[in-house]
Amino acid sequence: MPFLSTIVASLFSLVFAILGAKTTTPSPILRLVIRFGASILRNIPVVAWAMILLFSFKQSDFTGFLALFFMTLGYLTRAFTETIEDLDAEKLQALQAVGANYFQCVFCGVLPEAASTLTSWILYMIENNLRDATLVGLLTGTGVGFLFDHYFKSFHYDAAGLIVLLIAILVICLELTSNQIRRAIA
Amino acid sequence: MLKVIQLDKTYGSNKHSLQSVNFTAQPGEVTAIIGPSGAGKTTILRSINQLIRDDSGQILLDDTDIRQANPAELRKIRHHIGMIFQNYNLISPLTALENVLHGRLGAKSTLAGMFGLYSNEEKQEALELLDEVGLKDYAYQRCDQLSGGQQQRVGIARALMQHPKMILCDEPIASLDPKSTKIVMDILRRLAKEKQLIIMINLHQVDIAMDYTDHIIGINSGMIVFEGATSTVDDQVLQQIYRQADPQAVTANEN
Amino acid sequence: MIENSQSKPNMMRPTAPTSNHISLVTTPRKILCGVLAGLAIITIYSLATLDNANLNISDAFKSLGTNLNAMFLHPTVGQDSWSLLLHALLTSVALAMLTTILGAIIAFFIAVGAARNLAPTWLATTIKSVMAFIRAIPTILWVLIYSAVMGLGASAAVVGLTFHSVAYLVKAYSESIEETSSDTIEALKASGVGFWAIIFQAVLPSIIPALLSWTFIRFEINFANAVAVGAAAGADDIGYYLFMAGNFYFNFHEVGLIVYLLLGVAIILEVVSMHLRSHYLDHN
Repeated sequence: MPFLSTIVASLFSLVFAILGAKTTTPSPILRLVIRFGASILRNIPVVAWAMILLFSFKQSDFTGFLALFFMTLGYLTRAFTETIEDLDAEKLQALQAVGANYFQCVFCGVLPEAASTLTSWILYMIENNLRDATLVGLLTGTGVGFLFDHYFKSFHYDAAGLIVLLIAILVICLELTSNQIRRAIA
Repeated sequence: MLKVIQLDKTYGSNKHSLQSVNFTAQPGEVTAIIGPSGAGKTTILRSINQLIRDDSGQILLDDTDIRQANPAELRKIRHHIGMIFQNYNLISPLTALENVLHGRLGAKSTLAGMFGLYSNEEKQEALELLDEVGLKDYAYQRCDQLSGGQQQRVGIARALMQHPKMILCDEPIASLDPKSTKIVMDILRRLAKEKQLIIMINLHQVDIAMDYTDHIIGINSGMIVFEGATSTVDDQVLQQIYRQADPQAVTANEN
Repeated sequence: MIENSQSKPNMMRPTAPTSNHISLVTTPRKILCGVLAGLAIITIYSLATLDNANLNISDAFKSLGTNLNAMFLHPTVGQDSWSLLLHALLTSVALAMLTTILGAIIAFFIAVGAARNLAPTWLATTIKSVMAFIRAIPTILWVLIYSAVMGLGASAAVVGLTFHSVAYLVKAYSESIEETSSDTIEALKASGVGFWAIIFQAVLPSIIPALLSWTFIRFEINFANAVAVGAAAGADDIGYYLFMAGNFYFNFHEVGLIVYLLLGVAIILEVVSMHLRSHYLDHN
């Protein structure tokens, strides 16, 4: 679930970020709208998202997915926008000077230049969401969070402890792998 | 032939960047634009391919007015004008070969350009151009692993990939050491002669301009104060080009 | 031919392409594509196996629309009072502030031991591994674990939040410390300055902006965590009321109001931290 919401959110974020970054935005008004939207999505805590969505989506994986999705969308849109704005605007000018159009500039200039930074943001967000997924699970009664809650509330501390240990191992493995990947693509 | 007529550009309310600029540049010649910092060298160069929009005037490249072109036409015109930059402006995680291939973007359809679909002939040509600037061995190297001089040569190859009529060089050697400077300037001079290109270079270094160029345009505070063959430039002309404008204008330019 | 101006050759001598077919694929790109493909497969797999509990998606989205309308266009305090909610909000902020400050102070001293340029390697490695383990377990689980010992409530929340903050900040602080130049430290060591004197006179001043900015980031995280703890572990703060309004009373209007309050605090925090950071950086 954390994978799913991160990846889907990152696809959307990428589009929003390209439209919203100062260097690549087609219109300044759109940029303001995107920045404002992202800031709202990001600043609503994930708990509140879970509560808002619980009404409509009940106790399904979908609630958790959407709660993580919205928060990730806010975070990544901002992170991606800043990454793109940090790129040297002159490099895009160089492509414009070659006669490339907007889409060619984005695909041949912005994306390759930012690819490794964007990927590390996505990996970071997956780690983060894995942790938050537990919380969302606790609140909405899904996934591993629900399992923990179940054992914990019925005083099966041994089983609950095992779950905690498993989560820790998973997060650490993920952290190590993504560090490796980051080094490989840098 | 490039002909610039009565070009004007104002930044803000009262800061004149260019004032009635007129000059011509011939194919097969290297033309240098020299002048103090902030005189408007970069503005002139970037007006020519409309990276900077000017206020009024005419820019005629082989009798087509670039200023009148609509966006699609402008892209087509830009495709035939190469540009190289002080900071090279290559897409650094990509290989030298791919950066050279970017020179073809203006001639490709949107989709083919987006996904980097190049024909084998194009790849072959890009490789030959890299060979021409002496970098064939580095074709698969990432650009951020190349030295400054090598990156600038990749930049030249990218410009050549556009089959240009003209190459604009914005301070091409300002970040290079003397040895690389010589290599880059030699290539540019040779290209102008061999391919009958119009080459325009912004330069800080007067001695380089004197050694390598055929034609010199001197500007000061947005106005052309000298235009003529390099052989006619003497100390008096240089003093005129580099004389201090009134102090207020200098501070305004430095901002 | 033109000679290459690069004086130091690359470790591997690059070679010109020999075959007729020129490929644009390089190794790092293969890895990148591999990673993206892997993620895509996981995504598709989880999409396919997503347990939607017989949910009619289009109906759910429609009801989401009406609910959002009720929440955000007609917010009310519901069965709680304004003073109660504001007090709870204050509790959350206080909880976040307390745990951040406690965490920051403890983390600074541990970070000194975890910085490779100050502490012996074995100590640094040990501390860092322990902290990585603590960080890997979500805050909320730490709070629940402590609540098993101390009972549900504020004290478990404080200890749990502080615990995770320490682990997070030790990593951030020790990395900042490692970035200070080792020359300065060596020079001071050579002139016989004591260990703690070096830290407070040389290391601390140069990393204060970094420390400050990490501490603020953690403060923002802790605020969100405080809300989460309230909701999941029943500390008596805004999260608890949010959870009750959402899960027990099904009061859309109150949920909307609480979300507005949270949003307000989060935005104020962001603005304040932005100002403080730029202010501090200006004066450095």
